[in-house]
Amino acid sequence: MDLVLVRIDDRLLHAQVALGWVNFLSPDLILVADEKTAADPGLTQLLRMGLTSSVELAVADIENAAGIVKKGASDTRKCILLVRSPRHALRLLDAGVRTESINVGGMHFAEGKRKLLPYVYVGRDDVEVLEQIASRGVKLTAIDVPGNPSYDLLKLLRKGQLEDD
Amino acid sequence: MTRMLLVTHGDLGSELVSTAQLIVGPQEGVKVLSNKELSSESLSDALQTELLSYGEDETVVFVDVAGGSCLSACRVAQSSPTVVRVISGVNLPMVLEFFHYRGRLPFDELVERVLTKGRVGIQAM
Repeated sequence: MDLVLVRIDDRLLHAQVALGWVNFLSPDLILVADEKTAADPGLTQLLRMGLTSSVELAVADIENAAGIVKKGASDTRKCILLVRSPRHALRLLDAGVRTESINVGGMHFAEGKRKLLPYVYVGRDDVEVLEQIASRGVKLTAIDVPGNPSYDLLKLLRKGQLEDD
Repeated sequence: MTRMLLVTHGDLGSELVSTAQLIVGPQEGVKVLSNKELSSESLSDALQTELLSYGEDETVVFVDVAGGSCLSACRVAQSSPTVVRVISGVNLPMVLEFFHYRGRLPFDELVERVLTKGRVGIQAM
């Protein structure tokens, strides 16, 4: 399986992915690695509504999603892999998924979190986990939709830099 | 009077409403929510709070695009005490039709009318 995009996004599969990234990358498969979504067939059906019919949608918990990726190692299909948080991404890595880079596309506002970009807010726990992911040699890039500027997330974290809207 | 709740990306909802009001005059019972900078949970919570505040008022929720975070957030509407229908693909003809016919048609007929207008409002010249 060719992981063309591994993305941390608390909205998981939504318009930026279903329209923006799908049009840009033409994936064969979107894999949503998320317990909560996997346990909710109604939500899965809703997510499918927004997808063009040429893209397959799979929803699985983290362990099964990792299994799908590893089992399909020799498969050449292009896959977008989505998780909701840095912690979920780290669990994917722990479960044996290998990727050179992870896209941070949506970590939205919550009380007590620091703003790095309009679509990236981080709490202390997020910073810790993102640092752990980076320490495994995975490049973390912040970008919301194709064509917009992208940022080295670690640099943003370390500078503590605030970006205006 | 049937309420309108728009849940959209960016400023689309507020622009649709203000544009419609330029055409048909000021409207009451309209609320707009944007997903700007919000997580799915925050948007769902905002939507739920809004619907709960309507008591048993009939409400049509308009969403811009299917498959987005706005429509996903609208799942909370299913457990709302309000009589509610969620419609995606909102366009200006639908909003105008809604304003014209609410209060004149029963809820289900209003919804059908709006759905039909949304489709026939699209024409190639």
